[in-house]
Amino acid sequence: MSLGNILANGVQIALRRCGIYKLHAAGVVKPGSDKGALIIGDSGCGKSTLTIELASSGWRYLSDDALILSENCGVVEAHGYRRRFALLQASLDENRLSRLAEALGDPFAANANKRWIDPAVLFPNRFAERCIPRALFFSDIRERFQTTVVKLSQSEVMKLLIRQCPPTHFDLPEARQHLRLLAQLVNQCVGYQLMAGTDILTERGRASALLASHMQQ
Amino acid sequence: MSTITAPVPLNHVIFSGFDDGEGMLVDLQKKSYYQLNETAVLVWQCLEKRLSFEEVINKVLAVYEVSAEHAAASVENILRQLCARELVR
Repeated sequence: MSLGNILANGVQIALRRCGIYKLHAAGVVKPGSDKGALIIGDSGCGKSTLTIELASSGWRYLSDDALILSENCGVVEAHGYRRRFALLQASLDENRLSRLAEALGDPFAANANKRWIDPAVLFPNRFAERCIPRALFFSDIRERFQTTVVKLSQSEVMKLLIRQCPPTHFDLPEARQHLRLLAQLVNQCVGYQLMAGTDILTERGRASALLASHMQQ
Repeated sequence: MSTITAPVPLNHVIFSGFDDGEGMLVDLQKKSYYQLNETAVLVWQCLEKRLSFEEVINKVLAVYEVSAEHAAASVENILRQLCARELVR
């Protein structure tokens, strides 16, 4: 484990003692609103690709991969935990982003196939410091053209959140408060399974229209 | 009137309730979680308030239009499942 990872883990433990919890998710804000959407899933589920697509369509962004959650007056807020994006070279090749060369950074240490990207160069003034999540999209990539979105029950959403938050299981001193925050997040959001097809990559604006249509309530 | 003591939720079992009426129990020791339907949520909340078995049945009768026998059978069934999974003592 690198020194950076050790320090990051220490910071996360300290944050949990303060009621602030990391979530492996991307965060975006729907254009013309303050409604936040979290795109949740393991590495390779399309979080960064979707964030780039949505930011290209006018959505504001918090992070492509890591958020922290905290409760403020009974409402769960999300904050960006990592500002730079990390994208697979293949995704970079598929995206027709202007100023990409300028935004391109070093190779990503944890995955040699990824590169760091500075989103502030690609999407100036689109960074959102925080948002109130209103939709949760649990994403995975499917080998088909059309993307499908299925609404989940609140219990299903909670199960998926618990799987994404291992500290819920092992960090006993904060587990009760952590679970309470996750339940509050479930209650303030609508949860969906997002089975991402290739249409999201090939049709510019498709991801934006699809996610926005599920955030009308 | 005699009262039968209902089981007590264990400290390491955490309940989360949702707006749709369902809920979830997370057992922090076994690292497992269990989905609760609306009736089970009502029963669990009664157990947290340390209500007796009769009081739990009366709560169920106050919420659902069922016979006393049906309510008692439902509560017994839920308590049996909670005991079997060692979520209460």
